[in-house]
Amino acid sequence: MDNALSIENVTFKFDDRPVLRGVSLELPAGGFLGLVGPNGSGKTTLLRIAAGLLKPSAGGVKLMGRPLEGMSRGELARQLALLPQGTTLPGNFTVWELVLMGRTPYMDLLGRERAADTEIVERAMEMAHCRQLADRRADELSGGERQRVLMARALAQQPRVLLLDEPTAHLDLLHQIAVVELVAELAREGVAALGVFHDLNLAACYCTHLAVLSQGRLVAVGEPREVLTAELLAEVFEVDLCLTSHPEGGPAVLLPHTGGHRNGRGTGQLAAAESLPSIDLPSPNGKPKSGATSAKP
Amino acid sequence: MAIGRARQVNRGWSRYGIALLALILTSAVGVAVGKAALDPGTLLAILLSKLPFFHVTPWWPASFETILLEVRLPRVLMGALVGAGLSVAGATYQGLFRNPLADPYLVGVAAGAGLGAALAMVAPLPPGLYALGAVQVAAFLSALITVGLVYSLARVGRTTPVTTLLLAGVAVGSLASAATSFVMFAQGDKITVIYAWMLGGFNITGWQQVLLVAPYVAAAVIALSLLGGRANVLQLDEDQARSLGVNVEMAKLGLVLFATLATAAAVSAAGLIGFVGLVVPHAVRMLWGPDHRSLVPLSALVGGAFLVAADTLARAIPGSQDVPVGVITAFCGAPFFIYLLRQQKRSVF
Amino acid sequence: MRSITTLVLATLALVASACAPAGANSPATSATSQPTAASTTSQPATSGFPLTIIDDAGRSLTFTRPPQRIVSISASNTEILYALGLEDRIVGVDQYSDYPDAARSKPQVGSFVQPDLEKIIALEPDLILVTNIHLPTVLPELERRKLTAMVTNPKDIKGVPGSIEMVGRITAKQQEAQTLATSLRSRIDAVESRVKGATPVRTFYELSPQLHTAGPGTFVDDMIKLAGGASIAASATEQWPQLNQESLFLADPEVVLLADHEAGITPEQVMARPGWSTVAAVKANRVFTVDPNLTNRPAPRVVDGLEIVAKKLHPDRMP
Repeated sequence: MDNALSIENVTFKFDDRPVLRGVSLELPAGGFLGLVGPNGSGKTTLLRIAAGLLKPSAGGVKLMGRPLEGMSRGELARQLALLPQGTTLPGNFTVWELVLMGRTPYMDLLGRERAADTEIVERAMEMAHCRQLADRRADELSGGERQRVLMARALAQQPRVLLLDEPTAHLDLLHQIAVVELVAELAREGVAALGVFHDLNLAACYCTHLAVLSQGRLVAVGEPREVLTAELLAEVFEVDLCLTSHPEGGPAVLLPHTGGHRNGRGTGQLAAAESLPSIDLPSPNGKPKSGATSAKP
Repeated sequence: MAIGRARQVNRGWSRYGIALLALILTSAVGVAVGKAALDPGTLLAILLSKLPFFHVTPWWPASFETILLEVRLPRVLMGALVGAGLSVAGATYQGLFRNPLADPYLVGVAAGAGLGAALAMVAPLPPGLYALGAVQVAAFLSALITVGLVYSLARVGRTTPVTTLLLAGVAVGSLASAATSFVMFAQGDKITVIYAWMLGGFNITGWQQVLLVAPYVAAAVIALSLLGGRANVLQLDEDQARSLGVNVEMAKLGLVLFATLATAAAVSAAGLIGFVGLVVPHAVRMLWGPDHRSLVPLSALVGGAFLVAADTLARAIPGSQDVPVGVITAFCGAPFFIYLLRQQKRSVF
Repeated sequence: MRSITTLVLATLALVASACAPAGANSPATSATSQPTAASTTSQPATSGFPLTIIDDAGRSLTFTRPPQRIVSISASNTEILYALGLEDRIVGVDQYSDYPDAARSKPQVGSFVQPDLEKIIALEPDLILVTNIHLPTVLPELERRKLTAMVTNPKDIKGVPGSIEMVGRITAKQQEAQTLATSLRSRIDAVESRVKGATPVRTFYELSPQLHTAGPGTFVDDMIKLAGGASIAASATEQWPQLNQESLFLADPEVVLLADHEAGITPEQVMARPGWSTVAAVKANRVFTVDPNLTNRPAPRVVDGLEIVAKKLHPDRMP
C-alpha cells in the first residue's frame, strides 16, 4: 500500500539560500508524524511543500503514490487539508460560514451547499469542539477558538492527509490535549497526519513517529523513544534537558533541569540573580540599589 | 439538524423578495415623477396604448408620450443598471482587496474611461460616428484597456498580488487623469464638452445607451454571483484559498474582469457617480451578511433601487435644471459612511 | 531725464485731447445698466492725461499717459484692442486669443485662466487687460507685483460698447472707440426695434450634448432676449445649468442653437435624437449651429452674433 505522503529528496532554495537539503520522509497511512526542530530548521517550509503551496527546487512529493504536480488543485484539496498557523480570517464571517468554506473543493459551479455539506460541516464542528460557536463572528473568537474553527474547516474537507502547523499554539492545556488526541484518533481511523510541533513532550506522547529537522536536513526519524535522546537534544536543540521515564510507560519525558544548572547557549533555566548583568533598579524608598544613575520612582 | 436551518432566518429567500420589491417600488415612483406632471392614470394609459391589444384614444399631448417612453423609462432603467453594476463591482473589489474603502473606480476604470471619452471628443471623427455613440464606446474600450494595463503591470512572476494591483491601479489611474487634464488643457475650446461628459448623469439617456449597457451589467451580476463562493474563499489569505482548492489567479482574474466590465459600462454611459459602489455593499452586508453568493445579487437589486431613488429625488427638485445625481448620492452616502465608522462595537468588515 | 519726458508727453497729451471732439468724454449710455458703471473721468471733458477711471470692478486707476505695452489675457479684450487699431501696442495675448488671425502671432502668455506670470512680467507691460474671471486669482498676483491691470466686465450686451469706450479712453483712442461704440449701439437698437412686438421665440441654446445651457444672468441669455427670443432655461436656478430633458420637451423650443458643434454635434444629429422629432424646432427644421465666439465674447463681434441669432429667430423681420 502506498504511503499517505511520500516526501522524496526534497531540496528547496530561497534566493540561492538553501532551506531544505535533500529531505526524504514517509508518512504511512494511519500514521501521525511529528515534525520537530529548532526555529529556522525548515519545518514550515517542508509543510508548505507537502501541501503543494511551494514547489521544491529538487525532488518531489507524492500523495497516495501520485505526484502532487500531476494533481489538480481541486483534487488535492479533496485529499489533503492544511491547518496553517497564525492566519487571517475575515472578521465579519460567522464560524459556520468559515467552516463551510472547507467544502469548497466539493461544491459545484453555483457554489450552493447541499444538505450533505451541511451535515458534514456540523459533524466537523462537533469533532473540533466548536459547534456552539456556529453563529459567532470570526472577529469575536479567542485564539483557541480560532484554532478549533480552523481544525473544523480542515476536517470539513474530508481529507486523507492532514497537515498541521503548530496546532497547539494558543490553546489551553485542555484543548491542546483535545486537539492532539483528536488528530491521533483520526490517524487511527485512516487520516494520516503530519504536524509541526514545538512541544516535544506532547508530540512524543501522541505521534507514532517523530522526524527531526536541523538546518534543513533530516537528522533523525523514528519512534519517539528512539529519537529523543540527550545527545540529539544537545546537538540539535542546543539544550541540556533532563530525560526521565514516563510513569505510565511510554516515551521519555523531557524536563528542564532545576537547581543551579546553566543550560547551553539556547533556552534553559537561568540559575541565580548574580548571573544577571547589573541593572540599577530603584528600591522602594527611592534610592538606587547600586551604581550611579538614580532614577526617580 | 438545527443549526444550519436556524441561520436561514436572515439568510433565506425573503431577503431577495425585499430587495426586489424595493427596486420595483423605486422604479415605479421614478417613472411617475418628473418635470412633466403625469398623473398615474395617464401614465398607465400611455403604457397600455403601446401594447398590442389595447386601443386607447390619446387625450395627452404628444410630448407626454415622448417624455414617458423616450425619457423616463430608459432613464429609470439605466439608473437601475448603473446602480446594479457599480454595486456588484464595489462589493467584489471590497472582498478582493479585503478593504472596506474599495470602490469600483479603484483599479483605474474611471480614469481610463474619462481619457477615452476626452480623446474621442477631440479627435476629428466624422459626425456620423458620434451619433452612433462613439464617445461611449471609446470610454468603454479605454476603461478596459486601462485595467488590462494595470493588471499586467501588477504581475509578479506568475501571480498578481492584490497589493500590487491596488498600487498599479492608483498609479495608472493618476496617469490617465493627468492625460485627460492635458487633453482638456490642449483643446481649451472643448473643455466644456469634455467636462460636461465627465459630470455624467442620466439626462440624455435613451434606449440605445440602455441596450449598450445592459448586457455587460447582466453578465457581471450573473458571473460575480457564480464566482461568489470563490470570492468568499479569497478573503482568507491566498495560502488558505489555494489549499482549499481554489485557483487563486484565475479567480482573481475572473472577478476583476467582470467587475471591470460592469464599471466600464456604467461609467461610459453615466459618467462618474460616486458612493453607490462604496456604500451599497456595506449596507447589504449589514443587513444580510457578507457571503458573496448572496451579497452580489442583493447588492445589484439594492444598488439599482438606491440610484433610481437618488435620480428621482434629483428630478423632483423644482426648476428646469438637472441636478447631478452624484450630488444626491454623496449627500446620502457620506452620512451613512460616517455612521458606519462610528459603529465601533462591531466592524462591518 | 524722466521728468522732462513726462512733461513732453503731458504736453502732447494735452494738445491731443484738446483736438479731440467735445463729446469724447460723454458718459457711456450703458452706465444705467451697470451697477459698477465705468464712469467718465473726474476731470472736465477737454483734458486728457493724467486720467483717472473706475474700471468694471470698481477699481480706481490713474494713467499718466496712454499705455504703450498692453497684454490682454482674454480673447474678447484682444478683439477690442484690434478693433481700436491698437495692434502695435499689444505685446502679449493669451493662447485663446484667436481673432483676428494676426493675434495668433503675438507672443503668448499662457491660458486664459492660468496665464504665465513670468512671461507677462518679462514683457514689461504697462497695462494688462483682465476680466472678472481673473478677479480672485490672477488680479491679486498682478497687483502684488505692482502691475497695472484693468478689469473689463460688461454685464450685458448693451454694456459692451461702454467697455470699448473705456479702453479707448485710456489708450487715447477715443475717436475710434466712439465711432465703433456708436455703430454698435445703433445696430443693437436696430435689432431691438425690428423684433419689437413679435412674440418671443422659444429658444434652446445648447452648450453640450448633455444639454448644458446658459441660464438667467448670462450673456447668452441676454442676447436671446434682445434678439426677440425666450430662453427655455429661464426658470433654471443656476447660470450654467444642465437642462433636464423632460423640461426641454415640455418647453418645446421653436429654435435650437448649437454651440457644441466642436464635439461633433450637427443639426442632423440633434434632429435624429430619440424623441426629438416631436420638438417644434425639429419639425420646422430650425436647428442651427452658432459660433460661440460670437455669442460668448463681450467684444465687437457680439453684435454680429446678435444679428445672426435675431435672423434665426425672426427671419421675417431681419434683413
